[in-house]
Amino acid sequence: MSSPEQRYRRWLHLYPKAYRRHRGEEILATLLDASSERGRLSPADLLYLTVHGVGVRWRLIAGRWRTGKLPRSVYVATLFIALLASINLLGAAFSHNGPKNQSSHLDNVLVGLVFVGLDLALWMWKRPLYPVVIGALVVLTATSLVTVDLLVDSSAVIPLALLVIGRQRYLAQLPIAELAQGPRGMT
Amino acid sequence: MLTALADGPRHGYGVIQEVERLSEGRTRLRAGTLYAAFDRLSAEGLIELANEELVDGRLRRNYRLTLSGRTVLSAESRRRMAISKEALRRLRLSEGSA
Repeated sequence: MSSPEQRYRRWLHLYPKAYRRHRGEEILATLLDASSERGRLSPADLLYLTVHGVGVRWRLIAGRWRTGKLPRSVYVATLFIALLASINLLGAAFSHNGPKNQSSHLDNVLVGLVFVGLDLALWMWKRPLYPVVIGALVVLTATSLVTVDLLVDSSAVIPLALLVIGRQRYLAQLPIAELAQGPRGMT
Repeated sequence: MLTALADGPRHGYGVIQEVERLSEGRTRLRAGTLYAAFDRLSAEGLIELANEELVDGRLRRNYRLTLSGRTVLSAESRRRMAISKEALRRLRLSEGSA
């Protein structure tokens, strides 16, 4: 069984690497102090840690987006996936005729939400997990051939091709890999 | 949180304990909330790093109020004190007329 320190270090991976370098050991010490006094961390402690970690990541990404430091392929792929999400979600909303309607387009809602998740994942995930994102896109595209409009199917191919073709450039310049250099510490 | 740092530098868990003590147990800061606030207060120039030390192999960073932080805390405390005084004055008035 892992020690509290090992467990909390894993939780710290919610934060971007540069932030962990800057504050990781300090946050870890606070978590260990809190858990040694109270016995263990509560789910609320971990929830707030998660919210803060995701918030830091989001601000970092939003900052990169605003300052225009991302390569064009990142913008294009993300916008296309966001477009797919919008088409699915809006299409489902407009065609939904109430709970008694057997064709409630739940599949479109689900696919739309998954596209939203993929969009976020493209910004936040690290390089080794990138094939998972592509795989999920392939599965979704294949699934949507049966369930979603032809428009969605055809437009899904474009970001997929973009991602595969521009993969090296895309990955090398993901915002997480380019974070500012902090003092050396935990990684 | 600024009040917890008013009498001198404190590290993260020290701030958590002090806030809990000041609020008589009603406010219990979590580490995620604490460091979100540290980020914001540092960015606003209200707190700064005082020093750092290793205690039992753990990194402790102590934070303190900046001059700007002291000014903001002082102004906010006076404002709240004025509101409290006014509330007490009105309560006394209403008790006198009842």
